[in-house]
Amino acid sequence: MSVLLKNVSYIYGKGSSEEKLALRDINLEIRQNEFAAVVGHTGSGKSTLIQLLNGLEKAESGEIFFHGKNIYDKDFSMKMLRSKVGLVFQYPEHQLFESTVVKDVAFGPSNMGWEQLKVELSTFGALKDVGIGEELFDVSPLALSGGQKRRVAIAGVLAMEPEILVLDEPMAGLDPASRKEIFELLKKLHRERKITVLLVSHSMEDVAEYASRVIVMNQGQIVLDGEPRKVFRYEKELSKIGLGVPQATSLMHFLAEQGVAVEDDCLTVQESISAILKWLK
Amino acid sequence: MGIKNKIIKSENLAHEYARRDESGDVTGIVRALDGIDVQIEAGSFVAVLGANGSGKSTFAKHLNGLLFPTEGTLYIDGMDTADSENTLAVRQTAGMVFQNPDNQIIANIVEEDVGFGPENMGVPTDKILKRVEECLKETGMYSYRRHSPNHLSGGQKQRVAVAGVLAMRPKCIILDEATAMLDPAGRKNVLDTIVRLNKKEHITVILITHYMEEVTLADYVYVMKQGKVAYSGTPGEVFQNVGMLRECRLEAPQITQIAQGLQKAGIPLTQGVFTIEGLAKELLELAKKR
Repeated sequence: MSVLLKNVSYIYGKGSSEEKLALRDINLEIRQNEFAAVVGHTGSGKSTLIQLLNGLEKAESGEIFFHGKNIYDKDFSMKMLRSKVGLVFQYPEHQLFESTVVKDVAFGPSNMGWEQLKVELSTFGALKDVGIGEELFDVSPLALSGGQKRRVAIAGVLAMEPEILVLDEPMAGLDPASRKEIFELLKKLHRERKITVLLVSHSMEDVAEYASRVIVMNQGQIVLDGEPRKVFRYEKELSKIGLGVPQATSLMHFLAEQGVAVEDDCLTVQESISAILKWLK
Repeated sequence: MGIKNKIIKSENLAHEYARRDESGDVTGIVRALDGIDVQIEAGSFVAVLGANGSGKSTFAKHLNGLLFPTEGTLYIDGMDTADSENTLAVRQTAGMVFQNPDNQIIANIVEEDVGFGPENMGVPTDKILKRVEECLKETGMYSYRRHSPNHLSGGQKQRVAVAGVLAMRPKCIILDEATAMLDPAGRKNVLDTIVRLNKKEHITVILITHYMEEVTLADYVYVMKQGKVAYSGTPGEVFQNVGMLRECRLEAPQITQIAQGLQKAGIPLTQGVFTIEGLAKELLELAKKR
């Protein structure tokens, strides 16, 4: 077990005229070494949920446990939590600010109070893991391409050696090839560093291909939670709350509705092609 | 063909800018646009695709008179954008909607925001009020006219931004990744609005996007690579060219990929299928015959 939320509620804009219950009675366990995706329309509570995980926001009621310890206990170190649960914001490249790539990535670990050697090792290790070559180390981060900037921003969080990497729409605004590269990178980190990945995404195609678990949020509550293959069966329900399923899945649902006996729980292009060929044979 | 029915016409359009280091010294020249020749007919729906950094947004900023050619010429509705006397008319003719809704809404009330453009153009107050009402109805945001933009969803904010552009009575709307930050429902609402404006009001639409499904709405597609137009054609032609797509860091929508995979396996399908219903219909007919 790594993170456990128990009866967590959160009120947005408390005391103001805008007061809104953003999360209501959330019970959720993020297990070690999971690759999970959180989906939901704008305002469904996704971003609030992930900001609770590293203590950036505080729950109104309920408890959050990190490795069994209540993070709201007086003697719990929030600084430790923030290094263990690394948060990558939307458009993280907007937060690059140092004069060189290396300095930018080293900023986090330097603030951890680590000795110089450890800071350097984690910095260079993170840059290597995200695929940024030495020739870019002393370049200004602002001179990099969109995809490279995002890698550097992820390296900056990774350099603090988190156990959980939480990303808010890491693919937004990237071209299809860059999206794929970032996803392959997360897959590699998940596999090699044994890191837990939790990401927010609007792309059901990406979620279906990479995540092993989908958590669906609506109006501050978790309404579906399970493997993509199970969750994406509920196309009608998802569509009612402003979400969809991958095109490959939707096609098979459509055929099944027309009375065709096909496997209708396909998630990817390849799976749909195989299922259709099997039917037409 | 005369220049008249071409709302956008560029001849060898290029844009260079100097890259500078921290102390402001020039370290190199970047050629963001490199000889663009396009002709876009009034009333068409055109998509512009390309990898990050391929020059799409630079091109969009030229269409709206935010940047000016460093070489070549660009005509918007017959007006040379390099002529500073045309700048205001160019901006009024080709309105732009940007990626981040929060960066382009300025007023405290939705209807004031929509009225901002025409007010600056010196449109009389009674006409502004009428236009604001029409444009908000057109984008389906009329019932929110007295709301604060802060309390709207991303998709609603973008529709207000579209209404704000419409209120200037443009002939052309440019959307520079205007759906990138929206959830699926918000994206659909904005796109439905845009399609309706194109079909009903015959407003030219230039849609810059990374979402390949959106491209299927267009009549014609330009694919950009390193500041040049690498390929152009109908969505069907573009998505059929798998090698070019890969080279340009793009990919066809899933439905097209499935159709292509099935064709490879010997299933006789028509080219350029990219809707779920369209592909399903063809498959059902094939199954009947077998």
